[in-house]
Amino acid sequence: MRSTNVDEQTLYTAQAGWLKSAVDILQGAGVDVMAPVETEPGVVELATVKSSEAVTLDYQNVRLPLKRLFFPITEVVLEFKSQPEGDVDVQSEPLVSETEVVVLGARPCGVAALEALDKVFHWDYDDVRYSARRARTTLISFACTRPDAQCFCTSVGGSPHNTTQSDVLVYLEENGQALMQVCSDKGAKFIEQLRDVVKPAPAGTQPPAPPEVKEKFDPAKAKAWLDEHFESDFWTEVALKCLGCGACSYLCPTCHCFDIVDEANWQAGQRRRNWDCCSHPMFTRHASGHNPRPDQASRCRQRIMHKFKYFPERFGQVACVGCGRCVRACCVGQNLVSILTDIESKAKGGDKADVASTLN
Amino acid sequence: MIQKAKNETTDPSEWQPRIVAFLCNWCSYAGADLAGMSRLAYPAAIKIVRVPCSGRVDPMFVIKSFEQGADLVLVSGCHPGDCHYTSGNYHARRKLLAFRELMTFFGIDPRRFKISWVSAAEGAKWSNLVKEITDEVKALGPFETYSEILTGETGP
Amino acid sequence: MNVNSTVTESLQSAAATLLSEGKVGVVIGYGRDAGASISHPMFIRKPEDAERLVFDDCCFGNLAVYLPRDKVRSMGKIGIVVKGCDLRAINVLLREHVVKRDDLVLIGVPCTGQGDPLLHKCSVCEQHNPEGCDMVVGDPVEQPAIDATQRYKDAASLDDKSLEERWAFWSGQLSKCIRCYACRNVCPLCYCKRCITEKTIPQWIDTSAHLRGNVAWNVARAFHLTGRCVGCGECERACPMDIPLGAINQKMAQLMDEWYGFHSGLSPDEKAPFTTFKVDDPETGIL
Repeated sequence: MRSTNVDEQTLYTAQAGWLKSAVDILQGAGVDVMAPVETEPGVVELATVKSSEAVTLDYQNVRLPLKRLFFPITEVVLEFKSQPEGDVDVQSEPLVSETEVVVLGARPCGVAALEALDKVFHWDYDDVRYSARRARTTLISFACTRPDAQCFCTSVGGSPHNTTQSDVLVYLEENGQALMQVCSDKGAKFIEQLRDVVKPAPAGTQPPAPPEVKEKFDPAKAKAWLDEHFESDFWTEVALKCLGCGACSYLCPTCHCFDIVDEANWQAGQRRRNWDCCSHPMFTRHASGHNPRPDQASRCRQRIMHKFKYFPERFGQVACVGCGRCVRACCVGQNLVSILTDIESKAKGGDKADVASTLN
Repeated sequence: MIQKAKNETTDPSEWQPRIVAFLCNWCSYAGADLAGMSRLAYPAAIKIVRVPCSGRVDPMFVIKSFEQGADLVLVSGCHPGDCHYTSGNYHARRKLLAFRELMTFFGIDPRRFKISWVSAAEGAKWSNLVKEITDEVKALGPFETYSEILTGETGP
Repeated sequence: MNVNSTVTESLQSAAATLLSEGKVGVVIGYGRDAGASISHPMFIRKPEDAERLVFDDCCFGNLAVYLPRDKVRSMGKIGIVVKGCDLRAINVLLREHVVKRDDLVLIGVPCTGQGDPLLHKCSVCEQHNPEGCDMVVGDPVEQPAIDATQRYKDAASLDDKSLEERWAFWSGQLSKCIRCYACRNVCPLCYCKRCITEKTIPQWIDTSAHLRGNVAWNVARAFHLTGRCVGCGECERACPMDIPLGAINQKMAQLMDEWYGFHSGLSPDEKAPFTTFKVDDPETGIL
């Protein structure tokens, strides 16, 4: 967890009504403003807003993960059209528009997940679409005030006040005022745009202490066990209950598997990139029919291994931010936290622990 | 963008509907054949796909046709009792009527989906049927519910 | 959560007996983690683990979903805890020859309904006491008379709307679909090894989560369940995007009821509407 001691130079106070001013100022500057909106009863999503009246501040987290703004659920990569003489005209879909986007009210966990995604999408290949979307977007996070029992950001190095990848972290106050912590140049630009309603915080100002999120497991200990247990009955046990649906992966802010499909008629078509997930058997099935991950056990193992072993080995961090969406979404009560705590207890007690009795 | 065929223009006076018809091999296809041999004229907007039996028609055929730009889909088979395979059309009847209700429930215009029985002897019925449904779909105009979603630009 | 302790105790001892006598290789039931909001599926393979089984008013899952799975079948004969609604799904699996009755030991549980407030399926349930099980744990419960007009109420609320209003509603709802396929995977009757949406030659259903693909997928899903769906409501519960899938299934169930007097899953011997016909079936609107 980050220290709560924040450099005072980065802190600003915003007067009541700042949100309305912010939306209006940004709108005036031709910026697309995205903010939390109640799209249906009890459901809040980030959506483009024209005025601050549509914005809701009463939310635990948004339903869909933030990744969709940079890595959309479905996007056109190129278009093709048949031409006379049997030629095919291929047009690369233009890159995302350059209109600046400001997200007002992302949650710190969703924003922190972009650190993992940035590493993947800039790894062996620079994903131009992802990068262009990242570059045009300023992320104004709202500090998390009501983590619930399924949240576990503190177990994976995060915090309700995590500033990772945020441009500004906003601490909302009851009276409509806010404390703002600038975390990047983009953030400084945002503060500058809001200069009429924001002023440097008085000396000695510090952000409030973050609400408590219980630490539930230690990824380092889990990794030590994972290093030794690619083959283990544990995976069979975990997979027994798993229905192999993709709810956990699709809602995960760090999962980034995709599928490339062509959709066409006899004249023209599109190549698209769509979200996919390692729980689905089709994800790894070869054209020959061979499937290197032939059963749910190997697929469940992949999901855990990828997040807590392969990803740390390659990128030096776990691919999990502890937002708890997977725990809430699972309709059979399968639970990343319980799997990781089981692994941790195995790591402590050697592999003698009775698998069947630690699970379910 | 998946594009519509060239013969379709946006000018309503010139607009020609596209009708996809799935005809059973034994009755309706033969009926259409008879219409042709009898020199009975009918609109050319209809594109015929021959299937072994109306029972072969899966609702996905209909959805796929709409996706590819059909303004109306027709499924035609033998009259009840006359199925070459004894009961294929009875099964088709249950399935396709239920499918039409499902379309309606989703708000997809059921007038865009027709079912008919045309025997091998009914060349005249076929010719009149095609005229009627062509007139009807011309009055309805392009199938906008589907053409709007063809571009595939919606989604979360 | 309200644990039904009488049922839970009888259930635990029944499961322990079945396992220790070797009559089954596994008992599929419900367990509960401390602090969890629902009871979850649990596989018990040793008599001493039977004490971890529980029956309460949050046993939402339809355990029949596990029966067609090779991994589960490989454990030997299956003892399965069934509520009346789950039994309907098992009846469909039996009538479709997906499982054999001899491979199952059905442990019936009288159930007065799940959830607080009651799930919709429970408020119109006529199977409080499962029939045709190998054993029933707990005492029979009173079967209240149900209001049959409420059975299809979610579908009925949309029937009143115009075509345009319905399309506006469903195109909005289906636009949300992210194609995670939780609805399919949680469904006890979606047991195809390879789903139509995974078939590529031809590609019947676009896998992209745009409205075109989502409409095709949801039409296919609904239609493949017509005359089969037992209304367990698991698809709607599993949907992470809260799409009211139950209303679609209700609509199709209502048609089967009105046209053919058919209610899916009441007996393993019934004939599904799409596998049979009558010469004088309804024929409205055929040219």
